[in-house]
Amino acid sequence: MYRLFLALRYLRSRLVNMISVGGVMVGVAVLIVVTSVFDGFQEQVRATVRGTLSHLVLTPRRPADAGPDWKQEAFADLERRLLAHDPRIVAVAPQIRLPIAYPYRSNRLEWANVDGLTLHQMEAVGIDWAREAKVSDLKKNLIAGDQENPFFDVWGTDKEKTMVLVGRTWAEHMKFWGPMDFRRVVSGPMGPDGQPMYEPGPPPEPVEVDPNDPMAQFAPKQDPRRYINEIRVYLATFSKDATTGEMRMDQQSTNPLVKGIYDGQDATSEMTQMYFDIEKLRKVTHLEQEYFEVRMRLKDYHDAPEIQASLAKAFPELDVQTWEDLKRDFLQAVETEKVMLVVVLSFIVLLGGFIILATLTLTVVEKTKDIGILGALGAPRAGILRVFLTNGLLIGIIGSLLGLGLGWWFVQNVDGVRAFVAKTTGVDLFPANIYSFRFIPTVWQWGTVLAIMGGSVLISFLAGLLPALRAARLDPVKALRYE
Amino acid sequence: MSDATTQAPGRVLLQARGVTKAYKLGSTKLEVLRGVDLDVCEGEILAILGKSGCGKSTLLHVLGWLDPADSGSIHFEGRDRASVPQRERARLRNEVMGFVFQFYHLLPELTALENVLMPSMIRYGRLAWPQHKKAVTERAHVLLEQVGLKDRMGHRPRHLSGGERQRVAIARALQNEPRFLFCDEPTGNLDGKTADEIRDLLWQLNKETGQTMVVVTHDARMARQADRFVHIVDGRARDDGELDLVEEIQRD
Ligand SMILES: Nc1ncnc2c1ncn2[C@@H]1O[C@H](COP(=O)(O)OP(=O)(O)OP(=O)(O)O)[C@@H](O)[C@H]1O
Ligand SMILES: [Mg+2]
Repeated sequence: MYRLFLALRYLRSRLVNMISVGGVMVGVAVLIVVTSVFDGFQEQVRATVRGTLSHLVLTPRRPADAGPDWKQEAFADLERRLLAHDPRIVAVAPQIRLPIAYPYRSNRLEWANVDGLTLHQMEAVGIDWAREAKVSDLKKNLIAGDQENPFFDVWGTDKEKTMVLVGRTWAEHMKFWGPMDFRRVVSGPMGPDGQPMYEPGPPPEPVEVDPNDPMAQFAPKQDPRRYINEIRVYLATFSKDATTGEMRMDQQSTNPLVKGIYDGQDATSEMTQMYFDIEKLRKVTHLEQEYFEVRMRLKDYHDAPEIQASLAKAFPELDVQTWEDLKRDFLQAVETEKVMLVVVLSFIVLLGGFIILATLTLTVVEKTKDIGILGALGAPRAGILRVFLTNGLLIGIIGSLLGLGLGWWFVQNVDGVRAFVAKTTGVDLFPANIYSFRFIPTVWQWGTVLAIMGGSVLISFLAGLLPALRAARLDPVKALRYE
Repeated sequence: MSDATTQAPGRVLLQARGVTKAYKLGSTKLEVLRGVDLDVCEGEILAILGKSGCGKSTLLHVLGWLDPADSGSIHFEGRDRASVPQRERARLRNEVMGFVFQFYHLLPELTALENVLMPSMIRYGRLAWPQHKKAVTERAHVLLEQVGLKDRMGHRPRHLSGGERQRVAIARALQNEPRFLFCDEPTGNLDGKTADEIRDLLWQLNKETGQTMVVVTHDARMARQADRFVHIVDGRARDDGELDLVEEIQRD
């Protein structure tokens, strides 16, 4: 009975113990927050990457002896064969990717200098909307625009116009629009009365352009009637050299209309990818060869390795990869970073353990006489050992519980904390251009949390072991003489 | 006083033979006990007298198995200290022996009441504690009341006077109803009247429960009332001295 009683009393009566408790608390809280944010980050990264890449990516292998006119099998034929191959394949969609550049003046993003123009390097992704919607999250992510057919020119005014879907982060970076009202920026589908279904807001402010600004020519032109924005980009184009017959890549400026904005939860892809209709893109770039990659969605991603293997056997002309294969290095980097951080931060808990070791050693020295008294009153050595072990254990348990509370609060309010830190110190803890997300993703995994707490309690226990053993080894009478 | 030196009836509870004890201080060796032979019988009160620094406290610690002797043997209830394992010694100290230290030795973090309860807390484990809690708390209250500290129960030792601390220490020694009580100057810090009260309490316990007692004292009146007394002279126990010596010591 006296063991817990005395351990509690010693804990309460000595301020140093509270410092140890605080040390364990901070360590546990920090570890919980960091693992939660990292797990959340990892999970979110996987979700967004899988959302944009679909489950499997099939790239045609160009035969070594293929000439410049090499043509891939027509997509419709390939699609039929692929879908027939395995019933677990839900849908496939073609995709082409071409370089594209947007004149941009921010120096915060990577840019290249071409002919005196600062160009933001991007990727024009050509997609077949009806098929793409079945393999990726793009349709779900479309926050402005017609989800049924975003490339459709509702008003039918300009059949030759190119339509483009841009990322939300990109759109927000383009200061031309001012505060975003996506419904105003993008035209919606037509209602039965021939009017846009989205209720048009008040006409947007006319874009103020400084005529002396060399960039002015690239500012989107406002169309007050449609609220459609026209942007100007440079597209790679292709042409066949008349004499040599070789393909040449060139560049050409074009003025597509922004017909939709997608929110991919991923600033990086939003900043670097614009979606075009695949046929249109082929046309404007004069890309005659049939060349596309295939995105494939499965009923269940767990089947991916098996289907990947069987596809590779049945379609030797295709290189079959899962999205994880494609992003292996990136996923590995995230995982490594997490492990590193946890290892580094574990030192905080270890430090807490050393504080416990130090304070308990001090306590034992200070309590030498008490230990003698307890021995004289008939407390066995094991009992005295346990008084001090319990003391260390209590520090660990109380510290872990407080750390759990603090960590939980932090995780719940992580965005608030981030805003507060940004406001008071001007430091953004989670810059979107590095971490790709506008919010800090978190995951609360009880397994991880309990492991952290258990580890901390164990460290506290071990830290208490040495002083406790020392206390138990004291000779009662010698200890009594200690004044 | 002649009957005080005669052998009291009852079996021998504690038997010391040729006990020596020396303290080493650097190169010099201070021989405090040089062969003490002593018997304590069941139910008797033995007073130990001697000059200051002659080794009374040392002897008491050795007799109570707190401190091992350098040589010689101490049998308690027929068992030699050396042959009893540490755990069993701890149990005996807790349940059978009571100790009143010369310098009280209270636990500073605990209140007077908690200090008195401590032997019971050590005696009963977590499981047994709830069923004994009420009875032992009651006993602690009664004991503190008997030593006149009814309204000091919540005080920490640091807020008690020397005499009050001494009385808490006495109450604590009696808490587990020990059969054998070792007292090192239990009334050393008390005024005459309080000392008499405490002595009466101890003597009454001896009569009622047959509690055996070894009392180190400078108090002549206490020594006179003991069943027997021994002098510690030159590191040996002598029971042939005159009690007048006690008065002499007191004058020192
Ligand atoms: N731990 C120790 N180390 C060295 N010498 C000691 C130690 N404890 C006691 N002594 C010495 O041993 C002798 C006996 O000490 P002890 O405390 O037994 O005397 P005492 O008879 O109880 O005296 P008092 O009546 O003053 O309490 C003293 O001379 C003391 O200085
Ligand atoms: Mg003494």
